[in-house]
Amino acid sequence: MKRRDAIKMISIGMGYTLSASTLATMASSCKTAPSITWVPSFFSPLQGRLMEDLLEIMLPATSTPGAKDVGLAPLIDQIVKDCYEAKDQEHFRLGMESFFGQLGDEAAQDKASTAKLTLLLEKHLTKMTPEFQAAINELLSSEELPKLAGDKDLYLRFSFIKNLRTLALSGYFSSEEVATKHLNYMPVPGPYQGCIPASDVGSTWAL
Amino acid sequence: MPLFDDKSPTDYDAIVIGTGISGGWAAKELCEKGLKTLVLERGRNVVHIKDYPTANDEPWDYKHRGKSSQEDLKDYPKQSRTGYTTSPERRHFFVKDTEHPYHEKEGTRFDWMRGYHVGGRSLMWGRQSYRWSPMDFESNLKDGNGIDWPIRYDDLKPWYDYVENFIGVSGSNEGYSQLPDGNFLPPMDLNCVEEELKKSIESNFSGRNLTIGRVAHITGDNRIGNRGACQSRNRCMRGCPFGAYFSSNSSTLPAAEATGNMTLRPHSIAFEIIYDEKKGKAKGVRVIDKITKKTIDFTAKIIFCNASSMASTWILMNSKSNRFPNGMGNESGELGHNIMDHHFKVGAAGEYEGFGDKYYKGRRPNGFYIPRFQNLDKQSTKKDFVRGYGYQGGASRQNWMRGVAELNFGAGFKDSLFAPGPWRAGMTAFGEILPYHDNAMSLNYDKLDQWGLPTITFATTIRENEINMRKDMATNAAEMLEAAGFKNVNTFEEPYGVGLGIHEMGTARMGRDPKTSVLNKWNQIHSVPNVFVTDGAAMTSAACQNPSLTYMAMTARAADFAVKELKRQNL
Repeated sequence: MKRRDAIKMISIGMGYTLSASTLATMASSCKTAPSITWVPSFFSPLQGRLMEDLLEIMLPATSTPGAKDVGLAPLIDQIVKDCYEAKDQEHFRLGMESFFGQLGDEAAQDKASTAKLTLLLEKHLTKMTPEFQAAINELLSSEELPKLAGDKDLYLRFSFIKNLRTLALSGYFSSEEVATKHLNYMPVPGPYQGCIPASDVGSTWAL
Repeated sequence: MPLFDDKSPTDYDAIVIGTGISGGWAAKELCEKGLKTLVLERGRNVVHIKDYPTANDEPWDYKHRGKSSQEDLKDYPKQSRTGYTTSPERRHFFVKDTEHPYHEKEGTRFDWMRGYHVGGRSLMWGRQSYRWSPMDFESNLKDGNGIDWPIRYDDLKPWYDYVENFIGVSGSNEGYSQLPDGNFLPPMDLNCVEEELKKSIESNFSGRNLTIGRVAHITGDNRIGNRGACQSRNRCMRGCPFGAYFSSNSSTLPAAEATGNMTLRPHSIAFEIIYDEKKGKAKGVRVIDKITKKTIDFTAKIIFCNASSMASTWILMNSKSNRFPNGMGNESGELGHNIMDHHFKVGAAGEYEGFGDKYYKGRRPNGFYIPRFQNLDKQSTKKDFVRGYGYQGGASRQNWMRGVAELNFGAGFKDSLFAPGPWRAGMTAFGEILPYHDNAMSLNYDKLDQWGLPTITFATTIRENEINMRKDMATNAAEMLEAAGFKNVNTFEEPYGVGLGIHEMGTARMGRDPKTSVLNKWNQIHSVPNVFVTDGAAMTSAACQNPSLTYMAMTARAADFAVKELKRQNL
């Protein structure tokens, strides 16, 4: 399928598939979320809270810590603010606005539901049709912002999600809590052993 | 270290300019042979272990988890081109471009990565230590590129032995004709997938081999002086608290100090070798003291110039006299020309199915090495390029980073990333660059540095031979991985600027004829016999092996000769 066609499909709601269960949860549970306990420096306070919720959905607490436990949202706020080049920072901001903009009034009213954020993540990650995914990959392979408004919006939004996932995973697994307590942390391993049973090690090496 | 103070003399038997990998060796050899030696370093002092402030830092100790902020990078627009030198755990060992500017001829790029401190780049080097082979010293003569080397492998062999014994090189003797064996400490392990790759390459490709990288690390139960064995932390570039890898700071400078003959003078910018017109030789070195801003002349019978390839040449070019209006020893017009490096950033990587029940322990600061296999004999002769390349690579099991490519999220996804992922292997080729006269540096008197000294303008580029070689580098990497059963094999080729290999060399080359070279077979300036240049500047060709071991061997050889000549009263 040509990229243009694939992109047209998402604009009429066919670029991704929605399960009945997601649609059902989407209709329920809208509550006012508690505000965040940290002061964002790059995100707005509202974006900070949405980010915290979104990251917790991406990497939720289970038997291992969740995004919130390791302070992922404040870390990403700091990294985007300090480490991104101006252009990338602007793209990140525009992509984030576009992404959360899909929440409509709910976001503005500070009561976006977990279900709706989950749905958005599905739409941008797990529930893309292969054709749409290929079209997006082609779109993102360009270094330049597309000229057409629709393409530009998709480009920014999908770049944002891509960058956010990278930041989230690297921030999560490089946190002291996860690295030292849940991965295999050995600061001074001793002589390298090239081939040992994986069962002797267990989790991935932390470093 | 016995540092220079107000009571220190200004006259010595020998002066060594620079404390990096070759300067450290010059200091050790000259001091051990009884010469009172002044060792000049333009940067600050770095004391082994004490001055490795980040050696034990963890990622979470940094606000941005090891990423550099835009504010941090402002001072490092060029040094950050490597992508790894300016991260917060290493940045303090690299120069700020804002304080130490250089220039590039429009439309060209030169990546000059360096650190100004005691130990120089011996602290941050890659530690890969390969001998050159007889073929490498003969290649210029055979294919007519550049000029003939004035030495052969046999001239350097005893000095390779000598240097390896002192620095400690871990590796495996294999009997390869294009990569001579050495005096090795026990080799580091290959892991299971690397062993599979080795078997496949050696059975499917005639004339190709894979061996564990040869690195200047102490292994096994060995100790060398106060240095202990490698603990597989892979944080070498920050300085090793175990002294497990060779650096000037851990090894040669302490040896020089132990003789009582060394005076180390940090903060001393050597910018001119003073020529004595009457005696027809050098009488000393002119220095700016960075602290007092004063210019001081130091005198000595012999001078070893080991400031690094480009900086040693800069000093010679800036040493002008009636006898040498174009720079000391530059009658040939070759000074500052023939810049070489190793071009890289080309290779392939792929995934390996299997060995899911196997893992490894430790962060091995080393990988595998596939020695050069092109243009060795009739069968391997290529039509579209001369010389060759070797690969450096490694296999490992993927960690959480594999999650970046998976378009997924949520509890199950997150928890799956705690388990080791599939094996991957990749390799990058390092190829020989020919000596091109036009790959050159010049002094820029329009743009002076903060000391009022000329800066350098570089004009370098790779050419047809290298560009053709790069295609072969990518193709063969992929073919070897595919033959070994790797899946999803992808080749890569990223932009490369000359210097990025941090093996820059060739600007004061050795040769048989003073009309076409700067140095003779003993690294002596043809026309100034008491000045020796034994860093990368001396190189007549580049081969494709990492060059530091050769610089060290050349330095020890030249120091031995210099002291004998001094005793014979020839200098």
